[in-house]
Amino acid sequence: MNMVRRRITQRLAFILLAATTLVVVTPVLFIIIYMAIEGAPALSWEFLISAPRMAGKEGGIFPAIIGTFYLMIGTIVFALPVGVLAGIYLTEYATDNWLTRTINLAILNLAGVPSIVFGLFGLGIFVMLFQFGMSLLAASLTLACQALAMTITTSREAILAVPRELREGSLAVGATRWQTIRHIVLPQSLSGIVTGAVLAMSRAAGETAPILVVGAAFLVPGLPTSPLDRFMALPYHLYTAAAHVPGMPKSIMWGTALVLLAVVLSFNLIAIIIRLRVRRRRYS
Amino acid sequence: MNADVFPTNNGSSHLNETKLRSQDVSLFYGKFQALRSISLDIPERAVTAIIGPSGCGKSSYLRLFNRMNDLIPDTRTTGHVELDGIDIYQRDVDVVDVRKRVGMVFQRPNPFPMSVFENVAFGPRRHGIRNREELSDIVERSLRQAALWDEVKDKLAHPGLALSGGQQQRLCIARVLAVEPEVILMDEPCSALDPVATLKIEDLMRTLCSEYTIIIVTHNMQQAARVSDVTAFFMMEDDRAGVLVEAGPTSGLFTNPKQKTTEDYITGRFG
Ligand SMILES: Nc1ncnc2c1ncn2[C@@H]1O[C@H](COP(=O)(O)OP(=O)(O)OP(=O)(O)O)[C@@H](O)[C@H]1O
Ligand SMILES: [Mg+2]
Repeated sequence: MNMVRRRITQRLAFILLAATTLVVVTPVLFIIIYMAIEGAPALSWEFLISAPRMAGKEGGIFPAIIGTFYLMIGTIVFALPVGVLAGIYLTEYATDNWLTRTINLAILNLAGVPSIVFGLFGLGIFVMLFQFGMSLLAASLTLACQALAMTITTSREAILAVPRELREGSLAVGATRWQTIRHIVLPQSLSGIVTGAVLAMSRAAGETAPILVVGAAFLVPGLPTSPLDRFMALPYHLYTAAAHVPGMPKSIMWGTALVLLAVVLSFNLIAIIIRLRVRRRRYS
Repeated sequence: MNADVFPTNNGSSHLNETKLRSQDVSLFYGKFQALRSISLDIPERAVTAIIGPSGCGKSSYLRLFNRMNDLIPDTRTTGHVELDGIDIYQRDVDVVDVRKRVGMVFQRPNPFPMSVFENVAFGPRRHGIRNREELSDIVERSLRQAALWDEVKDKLAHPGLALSGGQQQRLCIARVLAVEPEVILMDEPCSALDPVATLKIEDLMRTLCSEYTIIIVTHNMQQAARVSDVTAFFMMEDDRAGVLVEAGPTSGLFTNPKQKTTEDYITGRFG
């Protein structure tokens, strides 16, 4: 009797969990499949490596791919060093006082600020105050500000995860605090830091709102040749193509979306692979 | 020797000069007092064992001597801790220099995630030795001293974590020896090891104490009796603060304890 009931409960729990998983997975799968079907006709080598023609209604999206690539690099070039240094400071040097607590609170809130607000901030600071103009540089800095919350948090978590015994072992042979960070803590937390950086890049690749106001353009002749040039980017291209170009072929829109999704997902995949490899190394 | 500190010195053994001295030392973790007014002299080139029930502050006491407690926020130390007569808690003392002279081996073997060679070379490298040959010499000497050389001489490039627990602990000892300290602090170095590995470490301590001052914290009374020249017995008071009950030459303390609590403890009546 009891056993029967237990078995039924087990069954029910299993069905419930499976159903929930399905509910979560289905929309994702649906989106990907739908996009693949709609966008596939547009995808071709030509589409990937040529510039748009006829206001994007023909030709390809090469400049947008390159622009997004530059943006990701630019974002991480600024966000990673600051993130790592802040992470080191917060974990290794800062004592638990009101200033540290305020900084932590600020970081938490940074993650919650709507992205368009970062855009306006970038417009005010980088475009106008620093006179970088509407440019790749201004956009990278803007996205970097937004990415900071993530790079700081992941760096800090990775650094905190380094066992205390290792630090003590290093200090106990007379290594200085900085030597311990440099030779024990950082090598041990590197993969966690890199994972965070890759995720931050993938997020930067997908942002539309902030770059809208600091330098992304729908059509730019040629590729950017300096950080002060304007640029094209996949999400912005998609947005304009879908919202502002009458008669835009559907397949081009979906094809662009598919490429954007591929970029973002492949970066997430890289992050997952790094994490798995580290975990395997740690437990073997 | 200070007669107050070693009341049980029955003249049977001659103790060397004092290497480390704690004088009226108290330690606080925030508001909690972990050690109360501990005065103890640690003789040079001898093994001093610290015994006592769990939580009485043995580790806390040991970590005073290389200022490891500094790493814990909100700790406060009062009194004097002296190394060769110099108070190591004075402002102008270089902690890094203290830790170079006073090495530490931990309860759980904690080799770095790098090769056997690099584990031992870690300290010397941090202190500026770059020459590969010199490093090789140091690594070999330290591993020999730690009685590990024969077992690992063909595996210097293997990860330190791939060694057995007992080998790892000797690797950690070699790592400390590589920076040529004067004192070695050992916090229950055998508690994670099997009896054979334990014996190896004990033999090692007996050899090393001809050159080094060693303090070992142990829960194992037989071990204290086997390896140490001097034993200090710690206890906690009603507010859980640790105090030194009795210290003296090991043979005297175990055969003829002065205090009732010591006798109860070593005969296993509590703790
Ligand atoms: N970082 C810390 N913060 C606050 N209290 C601590 C800290 N470390 C130790 N204590 C407290 O100080 C007291 C002494 O601890 P300690 O680790 O020195 O004891 P011990 O004699 O080494 O015990 P054991 O034999 O179990 O290792 C204990 O009551 C412990 O709870
Ligand atoms: Mg302890």
